[in-house]
Amino acid sequence: MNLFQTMAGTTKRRRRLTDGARHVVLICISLVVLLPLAWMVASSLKSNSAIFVYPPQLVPSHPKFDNYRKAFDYIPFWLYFRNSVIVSAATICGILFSCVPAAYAFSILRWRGRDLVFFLVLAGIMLPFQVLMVPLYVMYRDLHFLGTLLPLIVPPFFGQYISSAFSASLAIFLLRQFFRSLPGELIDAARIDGAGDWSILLRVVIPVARGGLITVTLFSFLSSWTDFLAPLIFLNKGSLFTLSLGLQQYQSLHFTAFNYLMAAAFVFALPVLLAFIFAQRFFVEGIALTGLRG
Amino acid sequence: MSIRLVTRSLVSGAVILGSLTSAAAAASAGAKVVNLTMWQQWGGGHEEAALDKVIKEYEALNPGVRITETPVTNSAKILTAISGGTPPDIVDLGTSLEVGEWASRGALLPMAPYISSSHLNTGVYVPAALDALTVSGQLYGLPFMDFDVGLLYNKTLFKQAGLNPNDPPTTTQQLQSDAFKLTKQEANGRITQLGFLPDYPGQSNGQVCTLEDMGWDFGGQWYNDKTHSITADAPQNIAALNYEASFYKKYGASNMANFESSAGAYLTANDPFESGKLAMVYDGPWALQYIEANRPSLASEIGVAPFPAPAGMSSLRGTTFIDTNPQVIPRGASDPSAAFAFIKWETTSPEVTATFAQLVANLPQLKKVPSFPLANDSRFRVFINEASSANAHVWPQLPYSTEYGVRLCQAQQSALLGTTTAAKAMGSLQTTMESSASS
Amino acid sequence: MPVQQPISHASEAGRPRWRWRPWRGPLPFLLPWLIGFIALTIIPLFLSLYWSFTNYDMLQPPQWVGASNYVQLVHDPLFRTSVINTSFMVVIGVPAGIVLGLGCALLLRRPIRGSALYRGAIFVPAVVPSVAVAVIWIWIFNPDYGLLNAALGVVHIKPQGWLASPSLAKPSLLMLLVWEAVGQIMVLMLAGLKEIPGELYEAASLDGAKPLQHFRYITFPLLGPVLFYSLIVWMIFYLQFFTEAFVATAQDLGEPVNSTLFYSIYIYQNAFQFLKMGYASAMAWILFAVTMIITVTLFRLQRRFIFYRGEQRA
Repeated sequence: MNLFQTMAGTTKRRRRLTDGARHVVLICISLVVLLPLAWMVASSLKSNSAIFVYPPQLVPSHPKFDNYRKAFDYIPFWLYFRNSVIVSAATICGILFSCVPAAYAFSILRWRGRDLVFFLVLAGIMLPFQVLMVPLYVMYRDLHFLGTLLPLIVPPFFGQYISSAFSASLAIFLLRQFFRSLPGELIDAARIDGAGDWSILLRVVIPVARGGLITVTLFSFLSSWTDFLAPLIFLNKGSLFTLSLGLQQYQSLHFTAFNYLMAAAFVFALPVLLAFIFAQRFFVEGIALTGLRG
Repeated sequence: MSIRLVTRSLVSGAVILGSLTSAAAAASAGAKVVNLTMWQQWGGGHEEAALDKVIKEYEALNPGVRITETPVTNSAKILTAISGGTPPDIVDLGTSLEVGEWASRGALLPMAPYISSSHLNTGVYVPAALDALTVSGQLYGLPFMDFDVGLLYNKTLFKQAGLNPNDPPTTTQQLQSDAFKLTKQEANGRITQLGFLPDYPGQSNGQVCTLEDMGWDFGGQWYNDKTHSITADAPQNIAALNYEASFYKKYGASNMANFESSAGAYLTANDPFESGKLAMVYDGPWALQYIEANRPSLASEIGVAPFPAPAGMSSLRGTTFIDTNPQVIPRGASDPSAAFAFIKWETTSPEVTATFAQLVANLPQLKKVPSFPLANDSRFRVFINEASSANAHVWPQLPYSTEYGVRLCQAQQSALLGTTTAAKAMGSLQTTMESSASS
Repeated sequence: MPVQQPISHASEAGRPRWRWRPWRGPLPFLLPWLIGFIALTIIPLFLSLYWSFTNYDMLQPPQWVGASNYVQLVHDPLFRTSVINTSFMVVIGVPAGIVLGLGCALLLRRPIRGSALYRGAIFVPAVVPSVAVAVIWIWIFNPDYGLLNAALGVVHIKPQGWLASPSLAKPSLLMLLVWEAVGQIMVLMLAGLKEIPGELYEAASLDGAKPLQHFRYITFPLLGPVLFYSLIVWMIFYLQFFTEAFVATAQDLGEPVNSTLFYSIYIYQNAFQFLKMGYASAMAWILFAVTMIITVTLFRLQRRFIFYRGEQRA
């Protein structure tokens, strides 16, 4: 073998070794990361006495799938589930309804003052919910919204939604990024054909930017399904609680059993976990564009 | 037409009209149903079941009224609902701790107009119960199911430690030495059995935190009614906190904290006392009821005694807070008169009171009730006797009593966990509350 | 609808330049957002500013007290505690997340079998609801029956109090917050790493550079924008996070001994437990101001330190 071939051979061998090491490290990291979730599922299947055992066992000896049914009796689980579904559906629809046209206006359309107004959107990303929560509470009280789900349903339709890691402002930002990356020729072609602004949005931009819309939908779903602070403050009627609030109330009631609690937590997390498994690509792309989970 | 005919037709017309109107009135009155919502802090379990029975009884007696109750254990949620304009009609609070603050802010309706219009004689109630609900001379709720605390101890553990199970400690010093004999700690610090946990159950049983009682037990007080000033840093209060902290010091603050936090929730079979890991507790009669339900074999082994006082202060033995479950009507309730009618019936009916007291093992708020089995139980009598003694105190009802309570517990925790001394903790509590009081 | 004719003169990137539309144009598209922005953001924003100068308990009308809330805040030891607690989380949490996320990204950078699975596994915590995350970790941290002490027991380490210990409560919360964050940061870093052209590494290798030098002189500088972005975004997160801390301490906010009394928790407590709306509004505005100041400062610093590809550095 000549010199180059030897060098190539050495590199390949080194590569295989480092790859092996990488696998080991990655497997360890993945296991450590997934361990809490495995513990949640394991605990959810333990009987009442098996939970309070020292030292604790990882795998329950007699899995009690019945715990799931019992967990749904302790709190009005399906009522809260329904409320969460309503709020999430409204959030998704609202954000798409208000943010897609807005992002379009900030990207494809050109008008004087566009960048200045967009700066307001950017500033909105930095706005903490705490600054608005008290005045919003009083406003909703005076509008008699507080005995209803309206405080959570109405704002997304007007492009105002803030939760801990996602906001309508971020949605506008994300969509604008997507729209700006569309090939200009498509838009130009449509214009030449005489299409107006709305036509372009509906017939050209939305179909092509499908990926971005899916990402925003997923993020809106994730953040509204898991949101806690807004439901905590605005939902005053027990029958209106969402799952995140219901689970926390459950946990703070005096009569909790960790196995039922873990079962309820698992079912609560399931919809978003499933959405992630089936649409991982969109989550990842969305993060890559914005750096935030949503 | 003759006059007789006219008169007769007029009269028959009037009769027909009258009967039609009254029939219509009867029909509409029967059709009108008053819907009342009630938020209660009994939680779930047998206490809620008892309340449901009472509600059903009232609904049977008053067909036009329907009451729906919901457990809402988080008091802040209740307050936000009131301030948010969507309050329930009745609130069945677990303690009177919030009444002072809520009443001062106008969140509760004063009872006076309803008391006079319904001719309710408040003399039927135990005076201490009324005190707990009186803010600035005005009554803001009706008392129901009073409660206090004493020393509950596990006789089996006493026997195992070589202590006489029928001779519970009578002084705080004796309690401490007994507790030390009853404690087992492993080499790595883990506590497997504890004699006494000074801050347990704390807020869970209706007091601000155990320091509230301990302060009174040591001869201190939290508020001076005459000078209208906060007295958090009274030397007796500091002595009480030092006493509590001494338990933590002996076994290591982190070990004590771990013991408490790894145990199950209060009043469940896995809580420290019910699971047999804690020997003595400063708790109330309802705990006996829960033990009967959760761990029947333990129930007969529980002894009850008045809580000990420091040596030389034996007259303070049996110190406790006394409180009630206030039945209040929030501002903005849809039908305050109907709400008042219910709570008046609930709190003044001797039969309802006796039955409920038996079911939840609380003290009657009425001076005269028919006899019920628990009333003759020697253990329950300890609590009854304490309630009428001079050592039963009420937490001051002030516009900032909630904040005072929250900060007192924080101060207690700092001293117990050793992050500050008892004197400093009470001192800064005093300063903070003085500034809150003046603002 | 009037047909817009392109004015045909070429401009940058070969795209024809359109005529600037009059204001009418974008308005229908912006209307819902604009209404919401004014009614649900601007108005509440200034309302809370106004209330920060009053005492307001929502049951009675606000009473003007001037700057008294702000003065009281300065003297409030709990305010100071909440600032210290939150700063701790920011100062430790942000770098920890970035370092771990970057580490995972570097491991996954070169294609490897099953990389999608690894990536997915590390990212999963990000989609678990925060309330559920808190509830799971509370159980993991249970001193007697929890997973963590059991695991430590295997290597003969004393059981710790975790959330019950004043010194460990914050690090415990950090553990679960970083657990949630690592996957998201990793994914962002991966995207950033993808942008770095391979030729740079090859050129460096030919010059004899070692992997560490690769990192120091190529990877790290070129990741600048992405690192900076993560820094800002996660700093904002740690300044405001609420859910996990609240769920862990709902019975006794801030326990043990106020070690978990974070800024957002204290705002909530003042607003909805003590009904001191004016005080809470003052705290919220201070948070807003601090967030803005830090962000603007970081943006200014970025000019000097971060290298954007295509820019000429002086």
